[in-house]
Amino acid sequence: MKNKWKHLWENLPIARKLFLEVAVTAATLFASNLFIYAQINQMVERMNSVYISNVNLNELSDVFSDVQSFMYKYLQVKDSESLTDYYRAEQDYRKLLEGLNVAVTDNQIQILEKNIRNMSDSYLAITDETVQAKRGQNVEKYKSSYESALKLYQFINHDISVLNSRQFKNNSASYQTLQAALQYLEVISTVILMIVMVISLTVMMMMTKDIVTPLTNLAHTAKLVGQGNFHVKVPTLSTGDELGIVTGTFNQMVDSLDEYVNKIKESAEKEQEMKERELLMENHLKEAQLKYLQSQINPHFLFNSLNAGVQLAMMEDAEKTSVFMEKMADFFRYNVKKGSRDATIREEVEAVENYVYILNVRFAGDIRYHSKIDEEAMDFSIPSMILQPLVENAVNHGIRNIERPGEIYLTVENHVEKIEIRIKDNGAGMEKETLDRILTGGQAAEGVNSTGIGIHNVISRLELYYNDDGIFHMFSDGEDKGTTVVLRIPKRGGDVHVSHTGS
Amino acid sequence: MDNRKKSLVLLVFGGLFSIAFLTLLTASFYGFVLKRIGVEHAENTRTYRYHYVMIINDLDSQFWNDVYQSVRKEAALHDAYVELKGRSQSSEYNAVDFMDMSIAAKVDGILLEFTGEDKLEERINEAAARGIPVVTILNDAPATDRKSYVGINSYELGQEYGNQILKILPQDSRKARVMMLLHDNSIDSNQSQIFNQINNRMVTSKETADRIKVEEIKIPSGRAFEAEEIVRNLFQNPQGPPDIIVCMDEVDTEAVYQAVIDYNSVGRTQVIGYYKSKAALEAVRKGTMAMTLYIDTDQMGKFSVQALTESIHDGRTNSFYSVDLQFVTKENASDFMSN
Repeated sequence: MKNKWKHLWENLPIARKLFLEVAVTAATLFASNLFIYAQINQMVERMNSVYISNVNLNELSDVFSDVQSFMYKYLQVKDSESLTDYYRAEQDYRKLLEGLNVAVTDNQIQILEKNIRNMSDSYLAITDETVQAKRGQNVEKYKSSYESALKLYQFINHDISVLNSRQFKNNSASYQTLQAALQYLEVISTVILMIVMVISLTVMMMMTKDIVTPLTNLAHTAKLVGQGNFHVKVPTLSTGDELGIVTGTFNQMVDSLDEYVNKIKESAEKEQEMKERELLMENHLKEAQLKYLQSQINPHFLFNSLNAGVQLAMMEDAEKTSVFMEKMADFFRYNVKKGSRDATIREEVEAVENYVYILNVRFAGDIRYHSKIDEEAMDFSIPSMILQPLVENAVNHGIRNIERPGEIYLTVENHVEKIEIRIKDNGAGMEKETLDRILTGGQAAEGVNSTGIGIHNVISRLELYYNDDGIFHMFSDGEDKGTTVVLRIPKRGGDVHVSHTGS
Repeated sequence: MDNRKKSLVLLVFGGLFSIAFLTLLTASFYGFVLKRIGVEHAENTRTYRYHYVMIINDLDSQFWNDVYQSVRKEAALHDAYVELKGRSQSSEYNAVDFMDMSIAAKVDGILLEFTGEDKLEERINEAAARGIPVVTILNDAPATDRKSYVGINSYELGQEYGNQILKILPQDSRKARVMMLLHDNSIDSNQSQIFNQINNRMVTSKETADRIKVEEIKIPSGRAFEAEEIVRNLFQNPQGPPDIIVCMDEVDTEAVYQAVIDYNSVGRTQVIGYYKSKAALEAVRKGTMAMTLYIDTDQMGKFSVQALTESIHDGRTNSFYSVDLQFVTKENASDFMSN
């Protein structure tokens, strides 16, 4: 139950909380004032009633003396006017007598009232008798009756004055008591009001503090967050008011900020990495190109010279020379032309064929070249100058120094997701250690006859291009058992950024 | 935070508690005040069926106040309230006036200390004629229509006084004077009878018959300080103060006792006091006063009310109720004091 109330209270909006606080304070003050006023009212009423008894008694006394004086006057002059007055006064007096006590009690005032009433009855009986006697001219009778009436009159008057003074005594005692009570009331009401005030002020102060403290915390934390510290939190409030909402939202905001900043950092790091890779790739390409250019001297002059050689050979009907020189020219032109751009597999395969042709001319057809090409795969693009260095490698390190005829197989297969290019020789082969060394980057010395692009360069470029180290594979069953290089090229083009770099 | 809340709750509860406490305190205080005023305003009073009046001569007398207390107590048992009327310094009325008042006020019964005043007997008869029973107390008015008399048997009391006087008489053979202070003027009053009986007793006793003289002084009622003057005169008399002074009144007792001390007559003048005022008891205990008469006020009150009640209910009652009396001497004074 208490928790429920607490919950209800905490979920109230601040405005309502403040309103409730003020309302409760006001209500408490109002209630205590009301109580005090009620008491005062009761007192004042009591004070009024205290005096009313004296006032009534005075009236009674006045009417009573009227009765006596009118009777006396009538006895003196016997006129009808005073008789009427007497009867009227008598009636009034009887009426007033009704207000007096008749019961026998142990209260002296009430006994006095009873005595006055009974004596007055007797008195009135005597006065009636007197008046009757006067009317009947019974002189003796009315005189003696008057005597006894006068005596009773004096008794009654005496009793009335005793009653009056006794009531006054009581009343002044009551009045003093009431006055003392009122003074006490003043003190008590002041104390109550002060207590209510102190409590209200304290409660208000604490409530205000409850409201302000979270705000201060919030401001402090916001400052820290502004300085870049996302790991601070405002102490959470369990309340459901605006403060609770603001604090909760603020914490959420700080969390989100932290997350965003982390994301941005990550992506910046990624970009950085990518840029580095691009640079590296360019470097490799540049290196390849440089190596290549170093190996040529003024290729255009060479191509022109070769073309001139082709013309010359045709004029001399030396057809083989003409073809040879043409292939040479194509081969070098491809190298120069492609340089850093992507090439199709077809162009690469042509370059390989040209290269093998040139070698076969140079080395009198020692190399038996077999190719098995899937036409559908021929138009996919790959980085340029990949296949030719591999074939050159196979020739230089594989079949150059073997006694048996050297054979090179080039296979291009179109698979679902990848194109598999396989270059296989039946040459020297290698031990596993050598293979591992080559794959991990230890390069075999490049021969003089190399086009200058080493196997490592090829591997690096493939990895950078596809961002994948699962493209290049090299197998050998051991010494003298040949070597196979397999490229599993993804059909998708390489990374866009990468494919356009270096152009 | 928690501590702060706790102290806040504590403060609020403490405040509420103190407010509630103060409120309750105020409420009860006002209840008390109102009740007190209410008592004076005749709100918390008991109602009775009968209204009796008790008329005595002296409102300040302790004896009569004791009687009145007893009467009131007894009357309350018989559903009656007794109003006390008597001479006081603030009123000039006498017993006759009080009788007139009571008759006019149509009370249900009157207890009257008969003082032998002129026309008082008439009033008793008038009251009886109007159906108001009158019971005389302490002093009787046997010639009237009073319903009953409650008091002491004068004969018996006189005899007893005589016996006591004989006891304290100086044993030598010189003449002794016994002075009696009377308040009653009527010849056949109780006090006169008592005086006569004392005289009788003295005269009839052989050893004292010739040497004791019993005298009386009648102190007229209604005149202020009369008793004191008469007592002083007694002591200044060239004859010397009497050997024994018998008082029939509390005031006389004190005045005489004071005079005995003032005139250095302790031991020479013996005082027989009246009723057990504190001073009288003290004097008896110390031996400076020979003895004092004690009349059983409880009994007196009880019998008076019984007589009135009976005469109202049955129309008749005993015409005489005898009240016990006792002399307080040095031996039993402390018993009375402790009571």
